[in-house]
Order: sequence, then structure tokens, then C-alpha cells
Amino acid sequence: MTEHEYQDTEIESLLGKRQMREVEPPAELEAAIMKEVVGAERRFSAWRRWQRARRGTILAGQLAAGTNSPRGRTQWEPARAGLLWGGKGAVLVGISALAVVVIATFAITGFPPGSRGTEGMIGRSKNADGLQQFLDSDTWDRLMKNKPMQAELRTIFSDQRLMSALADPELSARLATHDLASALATPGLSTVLGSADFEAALANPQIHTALGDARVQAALRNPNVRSATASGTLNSVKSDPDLVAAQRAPGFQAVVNNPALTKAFATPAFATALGHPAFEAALGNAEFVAAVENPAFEAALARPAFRNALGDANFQAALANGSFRAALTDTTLQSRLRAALASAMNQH
Amino acid sequence: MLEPDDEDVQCVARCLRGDTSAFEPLVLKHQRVLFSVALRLVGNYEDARDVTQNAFIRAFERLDTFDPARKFFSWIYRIAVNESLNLRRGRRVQEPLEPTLEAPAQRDGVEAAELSERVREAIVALTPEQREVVVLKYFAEMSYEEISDALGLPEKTVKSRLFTARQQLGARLTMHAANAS
Repeated sequence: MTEHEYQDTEIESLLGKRQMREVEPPAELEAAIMKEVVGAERRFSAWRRWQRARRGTILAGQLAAGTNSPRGRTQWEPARAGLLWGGKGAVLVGISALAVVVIATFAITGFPPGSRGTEGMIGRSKNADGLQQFLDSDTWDRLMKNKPMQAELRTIFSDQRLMSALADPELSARLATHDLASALATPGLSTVLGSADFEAALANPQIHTALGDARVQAALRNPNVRSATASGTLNSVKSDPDLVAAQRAPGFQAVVNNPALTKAFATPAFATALGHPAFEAALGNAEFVAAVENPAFEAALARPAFRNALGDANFQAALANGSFRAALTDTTLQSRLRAALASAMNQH
Repeated sequence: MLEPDDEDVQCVARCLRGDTSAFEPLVLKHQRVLFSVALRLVGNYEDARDVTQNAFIRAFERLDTFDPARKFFSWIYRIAVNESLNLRRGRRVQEPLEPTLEAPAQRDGVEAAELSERVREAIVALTPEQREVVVLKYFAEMSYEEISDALGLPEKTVKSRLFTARQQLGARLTMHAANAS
């Protein structure tokens, strides 16, 4: 070996070499890490799992949206989500717009507590014979004799994303969790949610929009504003910054002036339901979150006709039919469904 | 087609939604570099193993704070470095590294391998303070500013320590070459 004096630049170069940097880790390291990871996941509270699942859903949505790399953005761009940055209460209120729609739907229609059972969800026959049998059944016949249902089915059949959501055999199973059923059993909740006024309030597009506005959510997080809204003494907190901001949100007045909503806010059962550990647990279920966050499903839930359809026994039977669900995602069978619907609409 | 970094983000999203198996590809992909850095920072194989494991678990627990505007690797790298530094501070590790515990380098030639070995030995002989800045600069590839933040030192001190460390390394390598010849 020849004598060699190492200069500073050469040392830098040597240090930068890859073989200098990497050493083989212990063989069992990966398994040990994964074991701990599984344990950590189990130790998360339901609330934590919900928070993580929600963020995961948003992240997956960004990737799936074809925006490719999320890098280049300066921060998260959750579609519905100033609520992510708040605390537990903030999230509960933040999701209330969605949650009350889901809860109300279940409370009003009785779906899915009690559930439709799982037998119809298993065995996704995609063959045309199965669909033909369904189209020849009394269930389809009764659906076609229901004019509003015909119109709603036509709407559903024109929405590919919604059809895909409804075709998911897990969807109803996801929603029919015992946790949710338990939360829905909160004493007094069904009285609040089951009122025609409350249903009408949810169907109001202005209110629906307002409840999704971060400023409104912030105001409703504020105990003073919420209390004043419930008691009709909003003027007493008129200088509250949250209220001042919320007043700029479209539809805010519709929220605070709606008797059914103010009654709901004033009802302990409503707050109890949203804070119910079982409801919280339901929200901690990633599958539940994924189901209710399906944009097509969420948008459909905002339509009274869709909610009514969900409450219709024949529609429930249709969704429980594997051939019908299979037809929702099979382009050939979709054509047959649409043709059968068009034919029935002409006949009835 | 997802970019490699997007594959990491996709795994993160799956983990966040409760699929713990999605964490495995992240471990497989990054454990080698993280372990290597930890080993050089903490000084022995067992501690490096613990630091690496803790870094991955801590990352898993905090996945919901991961900002996809950053690379996953950079994020977990920082966690591992912080874990290493915390361990060193906690134990006030002063003892030298144990060079025999290090695995051999990938050998692309006897001479290159010998040189790599000598560099490693020279790094081991540095003072803990010098070794720390060398590892952070060249193995963790942190900027002067980042090192300054991580160690709580003025940037000029970091630069000065690095310069001294390189001088020491150069002197040792030169001396070794002279002895060998």
C-alpha cells in the first residue's frame, strides 16, 4: 500500500459513499417491529382509531384522485376538514352534519339496526339468470308499482358511484354495527330525530351546507353559542368572535332559526348521542367511517327520496339480493336493469 | 403508476385505516438505513436495534401526524435520529463504538472494502461529539441548520466540529496508510 495523505474533500467523498452508510440490521428486527405495531394498533382507543381512519381516508382519496404525489402541497387539503385540527369535541360537532343525517336516516327508517341479515350479502351471483329471477320477483314488481321509488331508482341507476357504493356487500354490514345500534338506542334520541320537523330541517339544502361550514362548526363548538342558540338568546353573545364569523357563512341563519335544530341542540339526548361511547366506538370503526364517507352515499343520504328508499322494505330486499347488487356494477346487467325500469315505468 | 414515495404514502393511508400489514413494506424498505444511522449514533448493536424498533413504533403511533408534503423516509429518519440522540443523552454515552459489532460492508473490491473499514475505524476513534456531527451530516444527510437544531448548538460550532472531525479522520487514515506501507 502506498502512503497517501487524505485531503478534506476526499474525506467528504469517502463519508458520502453508500457502503459507508448501511449496515445489515438484525434478522429478527422486522418481525419484532411488526409484533409491536399490531399491539399498538390494538391499544388505540376507539376515538384514536377514528381520527387515524379519517386521516387515512383523506390521504387515500388524495392519491386516488389522480393528484399523484401529495408532495408539493403545503399542507393537508382535507375536503371537509377544518374539523381535523380541533379536539375531540370539534370533530364530533364537525361531523355532526354527516352524523345527524346518518343517525336520522337510521332512526327514521329503522335501517340498519335489526339488520337485514347477512345471508343476502353472501354469494354475489353476477349471472344474468340471477338478475332475471330478481326482475321476475314480487320484490321488483312491488318496487315498480311505487312511483316515487321508480324515480329514485332512475336517479340511482344514473349514478355510477352510488351504484358501486350500494353494490358493496359490506356496506350494510359496516353500517349495522352493534356499537351504532347501541348509540342509536340512546334514550330520547329517536324522539328528537324522528320528528318530521327534524327530517325537514336536514332536507333543507341551506342547513346542510351551513352545517358543513367550518365557521358554523366553530360556533357550534362554542358552548356559549350553542347554549344561546338552544335558548333563543343568541343576541346575548352577539359579540362572540365565533358567532361573528359564523354569521358570514351561508345558511347560518337557517340553522339558528330552525326550531327543530335548536330543539335538538337543547336536547340532552342529542348531545349524549354524539358523545355516546358506543357512537364514538362506531366512529372508531374504520370501515364505518369509510362507508359513511363514501361521497356518493353521503350525497344520496342528503336526498329525502333516497332516505325514504332506504326505509322501504322492498328496496332493502333488493339490496339484500346478490344478483341485484351484482347488476349495479356490471355494465351489461346495468343495461338490463335500466331497460326493465324503463319498461315498468311505461307500463305503470 | 405510483411513484415510489407515493407507495409509501399509500401504505401510510392503509395503516391509518387499520391495516397494520401495510406497515411491513415500510419497515422492509427503510430499516437498513435507519439501523445504520442508529448504530453509528448510539454505539452498539443492541441499542441500535432498540432505537430502530422504537423509531418505527413511534412513527406508527404518530402516523396521523405525518404530513404527506414530506417524504415518509425523511420523516421517520428524523424520528430515528431523535431517538438515538435521546438515548445518548439519557445514558450519557461516552464509551467508544465497538467496531467488531458492525457488519461488513458490501464488498465491491478488496481495496474499497479495506478503505471502508479503515474509515469506519477512524470514525469510531472520534470523540462522541465529533462522531455525532459526522453521522448526522454524512449518514443522516442533515443540513447544518438541522444539525444545529437537533443538537442545540450554534451552526458555526457544528461546522467547526465537522471540520475538526474530518481533520482527525484524514490524519488517522494517513497514519494508517503510512503504517501499512
